[in-house]
Amino acid sequence: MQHKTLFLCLAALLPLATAAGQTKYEREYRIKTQAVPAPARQFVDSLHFQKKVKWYFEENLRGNSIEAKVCRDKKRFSIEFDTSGVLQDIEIQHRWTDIPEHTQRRITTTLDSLFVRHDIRKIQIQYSGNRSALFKLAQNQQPATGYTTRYEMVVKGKKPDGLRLYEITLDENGALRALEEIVFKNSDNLEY
Amino acid sequence: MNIKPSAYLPVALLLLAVQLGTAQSRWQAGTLPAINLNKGLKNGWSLNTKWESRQRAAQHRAAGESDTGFDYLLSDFSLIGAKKTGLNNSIAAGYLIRLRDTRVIHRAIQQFTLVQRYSRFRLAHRIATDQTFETDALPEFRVRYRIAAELPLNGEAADPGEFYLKINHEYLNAFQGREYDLEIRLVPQLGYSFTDRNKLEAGLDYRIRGFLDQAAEGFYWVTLSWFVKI
Repeated sequence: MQHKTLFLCLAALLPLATAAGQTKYEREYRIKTQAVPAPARQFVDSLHFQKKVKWYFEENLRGNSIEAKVCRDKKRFSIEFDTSGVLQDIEIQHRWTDIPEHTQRRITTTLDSLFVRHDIRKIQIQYSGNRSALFKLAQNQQPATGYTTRYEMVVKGKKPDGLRLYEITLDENGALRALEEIVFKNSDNLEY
Repeated sequence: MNIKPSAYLPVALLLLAVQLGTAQSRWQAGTLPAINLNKGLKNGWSLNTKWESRQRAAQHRAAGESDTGFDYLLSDFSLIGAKKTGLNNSIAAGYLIRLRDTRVIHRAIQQFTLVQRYSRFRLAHRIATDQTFETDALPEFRVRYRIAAELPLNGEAADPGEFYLKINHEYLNAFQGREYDLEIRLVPQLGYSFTDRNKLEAGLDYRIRGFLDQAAEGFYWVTLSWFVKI
């Protein structure tokens, strides 16, 4: 009798599970090096990272991509390619103190205009452009032309309606290019 | 699908728990299914309702005194209201009713949770207090701390369609009259995320108590928990 009641309860709850499934689609998973398109693998191999490079396939509504993630000199590198192996951009995580002072000032001015109070949680420099310029940048060299710099940041920002976490992209002059609120993954299974 | 060697960790922990269990004079084993229904409300409020049931399949009371057989033990029904108090923390309070044989046990619950998000895993801290009331028994007061880690088995986050490992470790200080007891729990579980709002977890809930009085009793519950957010 008790089992019957339990099964009836579970059956009644099943439609809820279906309804709960209508969420934004985004997925990232590890792939083996052999599954990476040759041009992407060759580019990353040519950078001679000492540490192991981890490859990921990312699926989202904007399109799919392949990403190489690796650390060098305590900085995280994320090198993004399209699914055929064409280089898209390179993101290198920096500490705030590594950012030139004049850039820090521009970034701070922009953030001051957006928030009552803010705290930068993470900052990475995103380079996009031609392959040879990006190759030099990944080697810590400064090419004269052929690339664009963006600052991609995770910022805890307080607006009059509350405190939230944002992903903010600024150009090299500190002008705002994109601002998105970060929606946290559901953590009910960790809280209860 | 790639499964890292860390996927075998729950099995290793299970074996360790069984090994520890053989040293205990008393133990019980069984199943612990649960359903967690969560509902987000406006202005950072949310509701959690939970049903959890306990069934015993075997027990060992003393040397030579063991028995097996499926016994339904109890059912818990709880309702907790929570309010976000920051970006990654919340306070919650609620009430639990336990139905055990013909007895009805009442428990008030208060908790504070903090969820830390790292680039490759999530860590949650929970500090909770509860007060349990039952006819013909002294009230029991507990202060508990739990740390829970969620480790994706593929990629940097447990995305929909992926498995993850969740490990809970909890210390419960229980005060009843002049008695004090410490209970320790270790709960390794393998989870699967159907969607961000629909997850299933299965594993082992290992508990030990009474060891401060050299009367250790171990509990091994096979868990199956379903988390749904509506």
